[in-house]
Amino acid sequence: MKTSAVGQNILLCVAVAVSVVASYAAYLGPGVQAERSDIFFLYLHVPTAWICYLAFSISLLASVGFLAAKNNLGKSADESKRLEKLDRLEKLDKLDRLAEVSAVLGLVYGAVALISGAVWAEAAWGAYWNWDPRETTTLILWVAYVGYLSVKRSIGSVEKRAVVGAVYNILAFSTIPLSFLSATLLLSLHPQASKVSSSAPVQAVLYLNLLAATLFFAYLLTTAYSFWSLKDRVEALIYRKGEGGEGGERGEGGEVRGEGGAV
Amino acid sequence: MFESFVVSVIYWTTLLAVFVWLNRGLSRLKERVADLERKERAEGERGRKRGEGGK
Repeated sequence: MKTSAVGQNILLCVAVAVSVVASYAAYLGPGVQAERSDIFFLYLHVPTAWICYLAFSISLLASVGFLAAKNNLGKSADESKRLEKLDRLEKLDKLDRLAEVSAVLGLVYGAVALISGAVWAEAAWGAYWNWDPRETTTLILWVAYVGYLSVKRSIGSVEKRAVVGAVYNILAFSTIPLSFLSATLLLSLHPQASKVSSSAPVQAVLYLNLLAATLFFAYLLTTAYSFWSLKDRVEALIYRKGEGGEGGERGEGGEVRGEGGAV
Repeated sequence: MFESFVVSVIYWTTLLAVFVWLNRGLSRLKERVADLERKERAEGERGRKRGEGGK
Protein backbone atom coordinates (compact mmCIF):
# COMPACT_ATOMS: atom_id res chain seq x y z
CA MET A 1 0.00 0.00 0.00
CA LYS A 2 2.87 2.34 0.88
CA THR A 3 4.77 1.57 -2.33
CA SER A 4 1.65 2.26 -4.40
CA ALA A 5 1.19 5.60 -2.58
CA VAL A 6 4.83 6.52 -3.30
CA GLY A 7 4.37 5.46 -6.93
CA GLN A 8 1.24 7.60 -7.17
CA ASN A 9 3.05 10.62 -5.74
CA ILE A 10 5.94 10.17 -8.19
CA LEU A 11 3.43 9.87 -11.04
CA LEU A 12 1.71 13.07 -9.86
CA CYS A 13 5.02 14.97 -9.71
CA VAL A 14 6.00 13.80 -13.22
CA ALA A 15 2.50 14.61 -14.56
CA VAL A 16 2.58 18.13 -13.04
CA ALA A 17 6.11 18.78 -14.36
CA VAL A 18 5.23 17.65 -17.90
CA SER A 19 1.94 19.60 -17.74
CA VAL A 20 3.77 22.81 -16.78
CA VAL A 21 6.22 22.40 -19.68
CA ALA A 22 3.39 21.46 -22.07
CA SER A 23 1.25 24.45 -21.00
CA TYR A 24 4.23 26.79 -21.36
CA ALA A 25 4.89 25.41 -24.83
CA ALA A 26 1.21 25.75 -25.72
CA TYR A 27 0.96 29.40 -24.59
CA LEU A 28 4.25 30.63 -25.93
CA GLY A 29 4.95 27.93 -28.50
CA PRO A 30 5.40 28.42 -32.22
CA GLY A 31 1.84 27.47 -33.12
CA VAL A 32 0.11 30.21 -31.14
CA GLN A 33 2.70 32.90 -31.88
CA ALA A 34 3.39 32.32 -35.56
CA GLU A 35 0.20 30.72 -36.84
CA ARG A 36 -3.46 31.13 -36.01
CA SER A 37 -4.40 31.98 -32.44
CA ASP A 38 -7.15 29.34 -32.45
CA ILE A 39 -4.45 26.64 -32.78
CA PHE A 40 -4.30 26.84 -28.98
CA PHE A 41 -7.63 24.94 -28.83
CA LEU A 42 -5.86 22.03 -30.47
CA TYR A 43 -3.55 21.61 -27.47
CA LEU A 44 -6.49 21.23 -25.06
CA HIS A 45 -9.27 19.75 -27.14
CA VAL A 46 -7.31 16.92 -28.81
CA PRO A 47 -5.73 15.58 -25.57
CA THR A 48 -9.10 15.58 -23.74
CA ALA A 49 -10.78 13.75 -26.64
CA TRP A 50 -7.87 11.27 -26.79
CA ILE A 51 -8.10 10.61 -23.03
CA CYS A 52 -11.87 10.17 -23.35
CA TYR A 53 -11.34 7.42 -25.98
CA LEU A 54 -8.49 5.91 -23.94
CA ALA A 55 -10.57 5.76 -20.75
CA PHE A 56 -13.48 4.05 -22.50
CA SER A 57 -11.07 1.62 -24.18
CA ILE A 58 -9.60 0.67 -20.78
CA SER A 59 -13.14 0.29 -19.49
CA LEU A 60 -13.98 -2.01 -22.40
CA LEU A 61 -10.87 -4.16 -21.87
CA ALA A 62 -11.68 -4.49 -18.16
CA SER A 63 -15.27 -5.51 -18.97
CA VAL A 64 -14.13 -8.09 -21.55
CA GLY A 65 -11.59 -9.41 -19.02
CA PHE A 66 -14.33 -9.54 -16.39
CA LEU A 67 -16.67 -11.58 -18.58
CA ALA A 68 -13.84 -13.94 -19.66
CA ALA A 69 -12.74 -14.46 -16.04
CA LYS A 70 -16.33 -14.98 -14.95
CA ASN A 71 -16.82 -17.55 -17.69
CA ASN A 72 -13.72 -19.45 -16.53
CA LEU A 73 -14.88 -19.25 -12.93
CA GLY A 74 -18.19 -20.81 -13.87
CA LYS A 75 -16.47 -23.69 -15.65
CA SER A 76 -14.01 -24.53 -12.90
CA ALA A 77 -16.46 -24.15 -10.01
CA ASP A 78 -15.13 -26.66 -7.53
CA GLU A 79 -15.81 -26.25 -3.81
CA SER A 80 -12.54 -27.98 -2.89
CA LYS A 81 -10.61 -25.11 -4.45
CA ARG A 82 -12.26 -22.49 -2.28
CA LEU A 83 -9.23 -20.24 -1.79
CA GLU A 84 -8.48 -20.20 -5.47
CA LYS A 85 -12.09 -19.34 -6.12
CA LEU A 86 -11.98 -16.43 -3.66
CA ASP A 87 -8.85 -15.18 -5.42
CA ARG A 88 -10.67 -15.25 -8.72
CA LEU A 89 -13.69 -13.46 -7.23
CA GLU A 90 -11.35 -10.76 -6.01
CA LYS A 91 -9.91 -10.45 -9.53
CA LEU A 92 -13.46 -10.12 -10.88
CA ASP A 93 -14.12 -7.32 -8.40
CA LYS A 94 -10.98 -5.52 -9.49
CA LEU A 95 -11.86 -5.73 -13.19
CA ASP A 96 -15.43 -4.57 -12.60
CA ARG A 97 -14.18 -1.69 -10.48
CA LEU A 98 -11.58 -0.69 -13.08
CA ALA A 99 -14.25 -0.68 -15.81
CA GLU A 100 -16.49 1.61 -13.76
CA VAL A 101 -13.73 3.97 -12.58
CA SER A 102 -12.34 4.34 -16.09
CA ALA A 103 -15.81 5.03 -17.50
CA VAL A 104 -16.43 7.75 -14.89
CA LEU A 105 -13.15 9.48 -15.80
CA GLY A 106 -13.94 9.01 -19.48
CA LEU A 107 -17.20 10.88 -18.91
CA VAL A 108 -15.38 13.75 -17.18
CA TYR A 109 -12.87 14.06 -20.04
CA GLY A 110 -15.69 13.58 -22.56
CA ALA A 111 -17.61 16.49 -21.05
CA VAL A 112 -14.51 18.72 -21.23
CA ALA A 113 -13.91 17.60 -24.85
CA LEU A 114 -17.52 18.45 -25.76
CA ILE A 115 -17.38 21.86 -24.06
CA SER A 116 -13.97 22.77 -25.51
CA GLY A 117 -15.15 21.56 -28.92
CA ALA A 118 -18.27 23.73 -28.66
CA VAL A 119 -16.23 26.83 -27.75
CA TRP A 120 -13.82 26.12 -30.62
CA ALA A 121 -16.81 25.62 -32.96
CA GLU A 122 -18.16 29.03 -31.93
CA ALA A 123 -14.81 30.63 -32.70
CA ALA A 124 -14.36 28.78 -36.00
CA TRP A 125 -17.88 28.26 -37.36
CA GLY A 126 -19.88 30.91 -35.51
CA ALA A 127 -22.13 28.63 -33.43
CA TYR A 128 -21.55 26.53 -30.35
CA TRP A 129 -23.52 23.56 -31.64
CA ASN A 130 -23.93 22.74 -35.32
CA TRP A 131 -25.16 19.13 -35.22
CA ASP A 132 -21.99 18.25 -37.05
CA PRO A 133 -21.50 14.44 -37.32
CA ARG A 134 -18.47 14.53 -34.98
CA GLU A 135 -20.33 16.64 -32.39
CA THR A 136 -23.45 14.52 -32.58
CA THR A 137 -21.70 11.13 -32.44
CA THR A 138 -19.54 12.28 -29.51
CA LEU A 139 -22.67 13.38 -27.67
CA ILE A 140 -24.22 9.95 -28.40
CA LEU A 141 -21.06 8.33 -27.01
CA TRP A 142 -21.25 10.43 -23.87
CA VAL A 143 -24.94 9.65 -23.32
CA ALA A 144 -24.26 5.93 -23.91
CA TYR A 145 -21.73 5.93 -21.07
CA VAL A 146 -24.04 7.90 -18.79
CA GLY A 147 -26.43 5.02 -19.48
CA TYR A 148 -23.72 2.54 -18.47
CA LEU A 149 -23.34 4.18 -15.07
CA SER A 150 -27.12 4.47 -14.66
CA VAL A 151 -27.52 0.76 -15.41
CA LYS A 152 -24.85 -0.07 -12.84
CA ARG A 153 -26.48 2.12 -10.21
CA SER A 154 -29.96 0.75 -10.84
CA ILE A 155 -29.25 -2.95 -10.16
CA GLY A 156 -29.13 -4.10 -6.54
CA SER A 157 -27.30 -7.41 -6.77
CA VAL A 158 -23.54 -6.89 -7.08
CA GLU A 159 -23.02 -9.91 -9.33
CA LYS A 160 -25.91 -9.11 -11.68
CA ARG A 161 -24.88 -5.46 -11.77
CA ALA A 162 -21.34 -6.38 -12.78
CA VAL A 163 -22.43 -8.79 -15.55
CA VAL A 164 -25.13 -6.52 -17.01
CA GLY A 165 -22.75 -3.55 -16.75
CA ALA A 166 -19.97 -5.41 -18.59
CA VAL A 167 -22.30 -6.44 -21.42
CA TYR A 168 -23.71 -2.90 -21.67
CA ASN A 169 -20.17 -1.50 -21.67
CA ILE A 170 -19.21 -3.66 -24.66
CA LEU A 171 -22.31 -2.48 -26.52
CA ALA A 172 -21.66 1.17 -25.57
CA PHE A 173 -18.12 0.94 -26.94
CA SER A 174 -19.54 0.67 -30.46
CA THR A 175 -20.11 4.44 -30.25
CA ILE A 176 -16.31 5.06 -30.07
CA PRO A 177 -15.47 4.05 -33.68
CA LEU A 178 -18.68 5.83 -34.70
CA SER A 179 -17.42 9.04 -33.11
CA PHE A 180 -13.82 8.59 -34.24
CA LEU A 181 -14.61 7.84 -37.89
CA SER A 182 -17.54 10.24 -38.24
CA ALA A 183 -15.35 13.14 -39.44
CA THR A 184 -13.81 10.90 -42.13
CA LEU A 185 -16.79 8.89 -43.29
CA LEU A 186 -19.49 11.56 -43.10
CA LEU A 187 -19.67 15.06 -44.46
CA SER A 188 -18.26 17.02 -41.55
CA LEU A 189 -16.94 20.48 -40.76
CA HIS A 190 -14.65 18.97 -38.16
CA PRO A 191 -11.02 19.15 -39.34
CA GLN A 192 -8.81 16.09 -39.61
CA ALA A 193 -6.02 16.03 -37.03
CA SER A 194 -3.36 15.72 -39.75
CA LYS A 195 -4.65 18.83 -41.55
CA VAL A 196 -4.75 21.03 -38.43
CA SER A 197 -1.33 20.13 -37.09
CA SER A 198 0.66 20.14 -40.29
CA SER A 199 3.84 21.87 -39.08
CA ALA A 200 6.44 19.99 -37.06
CA PRO A 201 6.65 22.45 -34.09
CA VAL A 202 2.86 22.37 -33.68
CA GLN A 203 2.91 18.58 -33.75
CA ALA A 204 5.71 18.51 -31.16
CA VAL A 205 3.71 20.74 -28.78
CA LEU A 206 0.59 18.65 -29.43
CA TYR A 207 2.41 15.40 -28.56
CA LEU A 208 3.83 17.00 -25.43
CA ASN A 209 0.30 18.00 -24.37
CA LEU A 210 -0.94 14.49 -25.17
CA LEU A 211 1.79 13.04 -22.94
CA ALA A 212 0.94 15.47 -20.11
CA ALA A 213 -2.76 14.64 -20.31
CA THR A 214 -2.06 10.89 -20.39
CA LEU A 215 0.19 11.08 -17.32
CA PHE A 216 -2.39 13.13 -15.43
CA PHE A 217 -5.09 10.67 -16.44
CA ALA A 218 -2.93 7.73 -15.25
CA TYR A 219 -2.61 9.45 -11.87
CA LEU A 220 -6.35 10.16 -11.65
CA LEU A 221 -7.19 6.59 -12.68
CA THR A 222 -4.99 5.01 -9.99
CA THR A 223 -6.27 7.45 -7.34
CA ALA A 224 -9.90 6.90 -8.33
CA TYR A 225 -9.33 3.14 -8.29
CA SER A 226 -7.94 3.36 -4.73
CA PHE A 227 -10.91 5.53 -3.77
CA TRP A 228 -13.46 3.01 -5.12
CA SER A 229 -11.55 0.10 -3.47
CA LEU A 230 -11.62 1.84 -0.09
CA LYS A 231 -15.32 2.63 -0.51
CA ASP A 232 -16.02 -1.05 -1.13
CA ARG A 233 -13.86 -1.99 1.87
CA VAL A 234 -15.84 0.37 4.12
CA GLU A 235 -19.11 -1.16 2.87
CA ALA A 236 -17.75 -4.66 3.51
CA LEU A 237 -16.63 -3.73 7.04
CA ILE A 238 -20.02 -2.16 7.83
CA TYR A 239 -21.76 -5.26 6.46
CA ARG A 240 -19.54 -7.54 8.54
CA LYS A 241 -20.25 -5.45 11.63
CA GLY A 242 -23.98 -5.69 10.92
CA GLU A 243 -23.71 -9.44 10.59
CA GLY A 244 -22.11 -9.62 14.05
CA GLY A 245 -18.71 -10.55 12.72
CA GLU A 246 -19.80 -13.79 11.13
CA GLY A 247 -19.98 -12.66 7.52
CA GLY A 248 -17.36 -11.00 5.43
CA GLU A 249 -16.91 -13.60 2.76
CA ARG A 250 -18.96 -13.21 -0.29
CA GLY A 251 -21.00 -16.07 -1.46
CA GLU A 252 -22.18 -17.05 -4.92
CA GLY A 253 -24.44 -14.03 -5.08
CA GLY A 254 -21.49 -11.80 -4.21
CA GLU A 255 -23.54 -9.36 -2.17
CA VAL A 256 -20.48 -7.91 -0.47
CA ARG A 257 -17.43 -6.90 -2.36
CA GLY A 258 -14.10 -5.34 -1.64
CA GLU A 259 -12.88 -7.79 0.97
CA GLY A 260 -9.14 -7.64 0.84
CA GLY A 261 -9.36 -5.47 -2.23
CA ALA A 262 -6.09 -4.03 -3.49
CA VAL A 263 -6.12 -0.69 -1.78
CA MET B 1 -7.78 34.27 -27.67
CA PHE B 2 -10.34 34.89 -24.92
CA GLU B 3 -12.17 31.66 -25.84
CA SER B 4 -8.99 29.62 -25.54
CA PHE B 5 -8.40 31.13 -22.11
CA VAL B 6 -11.95 30.12 -21.07
CA VAL B 7 -11.36 26.58 -22.34
CA SER B 8 -8.08 26.23 -20.48
CA VAL B 9 -9.76 27.50 -17.29
CA ILE B 10 -12.55 24.92 -17.73
CA TYR B 11 -10.01 22.14 -18.37
CA TRP B 12 -7.76 22.88 -15.41
CA THR B 13 -10.64 23.65 -13.03
CA THR B 14 -12.28 20.31 -13.86
CA LEU B 15 -9.04 18.38 -13.35
CA LEU B 16 -8.34 20.24 -10.11
CA ALA B 17 -11.89 19.58 -8.85
CA VAL B 18 -11.56 15.84 -9.59
CA PHE B 19 -8.11 15.80 -7.97
CA VAL B 20 -9.28 17.55 -4.79
CA TRP B 21 -12.50 15.51 -4.54
CA LEU B 22 -10.63 12.21 -4.92
CA ASN B 23 -7.90 13.07 -2.44
CA ARG B 24 -10.30 14.44 0.19
CA GLY B 25 -12.49 11.37 -0.26
CA LEU B 26 -9.47 9.07 0.00
CA SER B 27 -8.26 10.55 3.27
CA ARG B 28 -11.79 10.44 4.71
CA LEU B 29 -12.20 6.80 3.68
CA LYS B 30 -8.79 5.85 5.09
CA GLU B 31 -9.84 7.30 8.45
CA ARG B 32 -13.15 5.45 8.29
CA VAL B 33 -11.49 2.11 7.47
CA ALA B 34 -8.99 2.55 10.32
CA ASP B 35 -11.85 3.41 12.69
CA LEU B 36 -13.97 0.41 11.63
CA GLU B 37 -11.00 -1.95 11.85
CA ARG B 38 -10.15 -0.63 15.33
CA LYS B 39 -13.74 -1.17 16.47
CA GLU B 40 -13.74 -4.67 14.94
CA ARG B 41 -10.51 -5.57 16.73
CA ALA B 42 -11.86 -4.21 20.05
CA GLU B 43 -15.09 -6.21 19.65
CA GLY B 44 -13.11 -9.35 18.84
CA GLU B 45 -10.94 -8.83 21.89
CA ARG B 46 -14.02 -8.30 24.10
CA GLY B 47 -15.64 -11.44 22.71
CA ARG B 48 -12.49 -13.46 23.34
CA LYS B 49 -12.28 -12.21 26.96
CA ARG B 50 -15.96 -13.01 27.50
CA GLY B 51 -15.35 -16.50 26.14
CA GLU B 52 -12.39 -17.02 28.44
CA GLY B 53 -14.41 -15.74 31.45
CA GLY B 54 -17.23 -18.17 30.74
CA LYS B 55 -15.00 -21.25 30.90
